[in-house]
Amino acid sequence: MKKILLIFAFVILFTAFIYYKKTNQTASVNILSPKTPAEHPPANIVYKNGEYEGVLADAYWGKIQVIAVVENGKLVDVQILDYPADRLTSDRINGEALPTLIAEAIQVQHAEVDVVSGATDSSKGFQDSLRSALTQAKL
Amino acid sequence: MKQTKHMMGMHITIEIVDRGVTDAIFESVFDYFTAVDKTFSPYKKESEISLINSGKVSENNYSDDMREIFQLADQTKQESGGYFDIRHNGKYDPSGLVKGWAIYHAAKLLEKNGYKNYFIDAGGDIQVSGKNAAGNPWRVGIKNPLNSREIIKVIAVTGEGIATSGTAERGKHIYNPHRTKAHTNDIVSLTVIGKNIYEADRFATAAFAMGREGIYFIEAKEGLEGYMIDKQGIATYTNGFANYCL
Repeated sequence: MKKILLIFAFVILFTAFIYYKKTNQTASVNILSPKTPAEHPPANIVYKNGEYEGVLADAYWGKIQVIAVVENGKLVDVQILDYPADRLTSDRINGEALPTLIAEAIQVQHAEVDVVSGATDSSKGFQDSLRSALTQAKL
Repeated sequence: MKQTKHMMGMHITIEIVDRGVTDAIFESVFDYFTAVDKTFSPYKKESEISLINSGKVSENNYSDDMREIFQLADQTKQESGGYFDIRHNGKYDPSGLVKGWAIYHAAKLLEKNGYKNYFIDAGGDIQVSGKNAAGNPWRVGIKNPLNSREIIKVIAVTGEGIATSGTAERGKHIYNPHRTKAHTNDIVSLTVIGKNIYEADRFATAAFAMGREGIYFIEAKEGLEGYMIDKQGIATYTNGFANYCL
C-alpha cells in the first residue's frame, strides 16, 4: 500500500513539474520537444503567432541562425541572423576606417553569357535552425 | 565542344574551344571529379572523409590529397581569422575547399593536354582560360540570388576563377525578400573573382561567413575582387570589380 502511495505521489509531482515547466517555458530548453519531422514544414500546420529564434546551427561556410516569423497562424517569413561579424572589424582592421565601397541596386541583365555563377551550397544549416525555430512555434 | 554531367549533387560543365578536342579528354576530367567525390563526399559512407569522421582512418594514414586539403584548410582558417573552418558539429567537412581545389586541378589536366581556351563550371564555381568560341573573353553571368532565373551582372574574364557563395535558395512560400523588418546585415550572395578558382572559392566561402564585413575582407586582400548582394537586392563591390564588368 505504501509503495502504491509513493508511486502515486511521484506521478503527481512529476505531472506538476511538467505543467510548471510548460507554463514557464524559456527559449533554451524544451523538455517535451517532439522529434521534428521532414525538412520542409507542411503547409497545413498551425503555429502560434510570434517570432521564434532557432538554434545556432552549422552551415559549411560558418554558423547560421534563423528567426521564424508566424502571423495568423502561418509561417510568413524566415529571417537570417548574422553571427557576430563585428568581431572581424575589431580584430583585423586595427582601428583604421573601413574603405568606402560603391553600392548599387542589382539590375537584370539581358545580354547573352557563356556560363553562369551562382551559389549551390547545402542548406543543411539553414534547415537545422529553421526546424528548431518551428518546434517552438507549434501549438 | 561542350559536355555536362550531373554528379556530386551538382552540374559540371566543360567547354573546350580549341581544335582537336576528343571525347577522351572530357571523360578524363569527369573521371577525375568522380575520384574526388569518392574520396571527399560526406554523403558516401566509404569515402575517406567519412571514414576519418567515423574514426576508422587515423591522421598518419591520410592519403596525400587528404593531407593537402587539411593543410590548405588550416591555412585558409588562419588567413580568414577563423571564419573558414572545416570542422562542424564535431565532424570534418572540407566541401567548402574541395570544390575549388578540384576544379583547379581539373583545369591543370586540360592544360597538360595542351588546351588553352576552355572553362570548367562545377556547381556555379568556374575556372576560365583564354577566349570563347567568338574569340572574346569568357562572358560570365552572376545569378540573381533573389530570383534564380535572372542574371544581374555580366563580367568578362580570361584566366580567372569565379566563385559565388550564398545561402541556399529558399522556397517562395517561406522567404519574403520584401519584408520591411529585415535585418540589414543579411547577405545572400558573394561572388569573388580570383587569380584562379581555388583562391576565389576558398575566400568566397570564408568571406561569406563574415556577413557584411566579408566584402571588406575581399577588398583588403590582394588579387581578389568581390560583388556582395544583400537581402534587399543592394550590391556592394570592391574597387577593382568594375574593371571586369560588361
